Amino acid sequence: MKLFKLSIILFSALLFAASCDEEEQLPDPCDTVVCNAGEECQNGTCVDTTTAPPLVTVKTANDIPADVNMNETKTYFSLATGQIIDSADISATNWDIAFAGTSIFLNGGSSGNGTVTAQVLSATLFTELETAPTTGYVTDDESGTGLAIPTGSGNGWYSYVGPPTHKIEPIAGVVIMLKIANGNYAKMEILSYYQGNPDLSQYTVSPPVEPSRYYTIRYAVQTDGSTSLK
Amino acid sequence: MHLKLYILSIFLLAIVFTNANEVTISGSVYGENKSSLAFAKIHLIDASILTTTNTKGEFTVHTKKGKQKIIISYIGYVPDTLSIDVIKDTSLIFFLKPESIALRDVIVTASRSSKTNQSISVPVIVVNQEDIQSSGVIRLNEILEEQTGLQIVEDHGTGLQMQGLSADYIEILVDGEPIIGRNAGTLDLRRISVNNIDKIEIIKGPVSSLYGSDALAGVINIITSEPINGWNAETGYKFRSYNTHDLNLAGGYKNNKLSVQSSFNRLSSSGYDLQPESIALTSPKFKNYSARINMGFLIKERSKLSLSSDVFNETQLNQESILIDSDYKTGTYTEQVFNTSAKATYKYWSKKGHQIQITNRFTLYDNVSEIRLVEDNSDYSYESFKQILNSTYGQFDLELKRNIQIISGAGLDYENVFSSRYNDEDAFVRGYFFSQLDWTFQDRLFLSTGFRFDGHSIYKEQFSPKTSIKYMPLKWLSFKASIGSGYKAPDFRQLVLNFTNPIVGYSVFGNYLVKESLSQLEEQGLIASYLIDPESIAILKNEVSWAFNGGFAIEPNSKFMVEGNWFRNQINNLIETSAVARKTNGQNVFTYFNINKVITQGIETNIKITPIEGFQITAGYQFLDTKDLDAVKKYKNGEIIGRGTDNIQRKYNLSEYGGLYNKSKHTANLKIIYTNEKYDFSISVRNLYRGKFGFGDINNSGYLDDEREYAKGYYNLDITLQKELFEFINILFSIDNITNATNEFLPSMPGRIYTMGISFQLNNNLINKLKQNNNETI
Repeated sequence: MKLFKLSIILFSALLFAASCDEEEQLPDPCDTVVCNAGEECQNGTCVDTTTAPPLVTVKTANDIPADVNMNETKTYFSLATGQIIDSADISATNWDIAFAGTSIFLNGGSSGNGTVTAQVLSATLFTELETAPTTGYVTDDESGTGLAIPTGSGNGWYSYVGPPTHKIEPIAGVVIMLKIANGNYAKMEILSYYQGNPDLSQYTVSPPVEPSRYYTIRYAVQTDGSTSLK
Repeated sequence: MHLKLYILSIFLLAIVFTNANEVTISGSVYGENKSSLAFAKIHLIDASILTTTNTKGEFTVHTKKGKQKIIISYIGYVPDTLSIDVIKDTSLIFFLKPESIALRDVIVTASRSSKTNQSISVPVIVVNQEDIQSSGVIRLNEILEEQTGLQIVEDHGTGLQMQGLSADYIEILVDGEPIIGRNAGTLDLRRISVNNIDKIEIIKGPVSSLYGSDALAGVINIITSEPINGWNAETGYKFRSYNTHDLNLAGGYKNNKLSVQSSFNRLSSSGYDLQPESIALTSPKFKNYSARINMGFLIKERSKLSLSSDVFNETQLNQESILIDSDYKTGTYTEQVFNTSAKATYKYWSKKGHQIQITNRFTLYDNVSEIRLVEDNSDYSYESFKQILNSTYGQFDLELKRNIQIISGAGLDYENVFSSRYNDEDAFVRGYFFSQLDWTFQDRLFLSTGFRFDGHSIYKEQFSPKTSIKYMPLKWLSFKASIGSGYKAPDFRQLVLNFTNPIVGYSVFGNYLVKESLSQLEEQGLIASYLIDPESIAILKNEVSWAFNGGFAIEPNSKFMVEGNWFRNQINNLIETSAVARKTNGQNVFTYFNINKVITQGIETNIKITPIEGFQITAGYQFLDTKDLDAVKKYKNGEIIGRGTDNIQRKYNLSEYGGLYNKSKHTANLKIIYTNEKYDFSISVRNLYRGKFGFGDINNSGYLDDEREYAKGYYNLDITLQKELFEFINILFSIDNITNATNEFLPSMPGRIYTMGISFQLNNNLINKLKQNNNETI
């Protein structure tokens, strides 16, 4: 009988062990803060919004070709204007980034005459990146480090899934921060490497039918030179 | 002869001169087919004497004159009780009757010693030969997937999932010995034929306390057939869709001194293709042979020598599409598998019931795979893997009183690995000892407690305790509970892999080699930067679990049974790869780390009903919940980002988290078997259900959290008809997967399959009938 009781105790101990304890969520510090008119609470402090930088506009560029015919031609793109620049017309200031295959080049360093620098942020959500970092930007092949946006699966913006689908997928949580040719800050997210921004989840046993080497990106540029990316 | 006489006279003198009150009771114990029962227990209740029979089934005890109650017992047989008044030396003969099939279950896996199913305090499933035969299956995976709580998972071979844990956590044994040759952790169950199997014992929950590493989720022990007295011979042939042929031959002989049982199997198939758009067949063309021989010799009165050996050989053939310089080329893939083992066991049992056995077993696994380009027959890739394991162990079973048994053992494993992917040759030594105490109280309470200690030449030592208890307050009601620790040692690739992808250029090093390999790369100037300090890389720890099981069973009569079991496994130190350095080519160097903590928990229920004579209905269901505790933390902290609709990235929250990949929350089975004794036929209908499960990371969040990452659930309906002719011919016709369900994530499920088979079984009774006239008397 003693052992029976013991087994009941053991059993209830097991059941107790099974119920998992929930962690408490930290309260938002802004819940208890009241701000004046024209102010907005940010992380517990009131910030004046009347003199704040203009809100950025998020734009999307669809199907930027990136050496589609595989003859090592780059497509030059200006984030400031959202235009593709003809390779005959490029200058130190009229383009920011260039696409060729999975490589993304900057107008600077070994790839251009401009001053564009960039860095790859990970574990970051595009829409939540509200302030540009002020340090950490490099340009292409600065002191032999390769491209500022590294190539190779898992290193920069994409991962290669391997056979049988051979998919190239943008890495979730990657946001590319740029200081573009006109000195402004810009953020960029790569949505797709395939024409028409298809949902790649449908391809699990064979490569996507949509042609690759077509970038769809979304990006936002702060025009007043400040770090605000809201 | 002289010696015998001499002993006899001494013996008689001893009786005469020591105590005139003493008498000698001698006798023999026989079982089925008049076979003598060695190691049967003779218990003289009043005199508190326990003894056992020798190899000839004979016993001798000395006791005082007077009334004696004698109980003769032998596992698997109904005990016989005799009350006699002994006034002079007496000779007795006992014939024991075998227990009915339902009660016959003897479990050997739960304590490495024969036990009745009733006394087992851990969750156990027994699949008998009858169950296997009535299903018309060919390979082991086909019968295992019909059991509640077991799912088939394709990952580098056909593996199994138990209590939500993958194939690399399940130990697969044949006659108590591990099968080697795992590919990325999976032991391909298709290697094992279901012919010549007596039964399969499945123990759920960790059994590392007896079997060490790999028995973290549980153990599956395949018990091969033993011959019955006299001759037996069997042959069978099955033909199945996809040009599959299964041929089986078996034969054996047994008398009171020796037993031999041998079997041979050949299986071949043309394979099948579920994805015609790819040139590779989904299931390759293959041909394999397996053979086994078991021999037993009774030497002297109380000892036995057992020898066994098996061999397996398989050739696989497939086509592959290879990407070379952005051109797809066709390659021919061939794989050769060879596996063999040889085992010798010497066993001795004393009059008091103690047993000692010493075993040595050698096993070898060899796998060579290569891809040749079709266009010029040039070698594109060649990989080889060879594993040798020699195990030496001893076991001592101590009988203390009638209700306490202590089973202890110790062993030494020597393992050698050669691989084209590893650094030359690697050798490991493992030493271990274990001990388990089984205690029975009034046939109501069964307690089992034990531990195993493993030491290893490379990784850390491990202590694995386990305690389980069963309580039967009523004859028809029982409760079971157990708590135990399981572990899985780092496997070879995690220790000694030395691999650099020739096309992409990344490298993976095993934990044992990583520091040395990194410094070599650094000397060659190939390291661009370190992501972590190589000196901080610690020795890999074992993956260790704590598991709880608790359940009940209600069985008021042989026509109704319901049981339920709750389980929870928490595994710490899960081994995963992570980058340590960046190479100058932009690629990473990876190695293995102890990273995650994982929980699998759930409930399993089974019901068995015999509504009318001849019908048997069984139904089972498992609910499963799995999670990675680090993932849970990350979701709570809002750190999980994935690609959502239109590939726009968003955060995923905890409520979207679906746990581990490849685990179905709901699985169920329903089996109806009708047996007609009058016309000797049976119909078996089985329906399996597997609910939706996650197949992979589609949104790149790193975890299962998007509807697009789930494969649909499915039903699998099978029907088998069987008819017996002239007592020794059996014909069967079977349709598997009648509804033709397919699932692109289950390459082992090709759609509807037809099987036809015929077998001839000349059993001992038939032979006896033929030679009844010159039958020996005992």
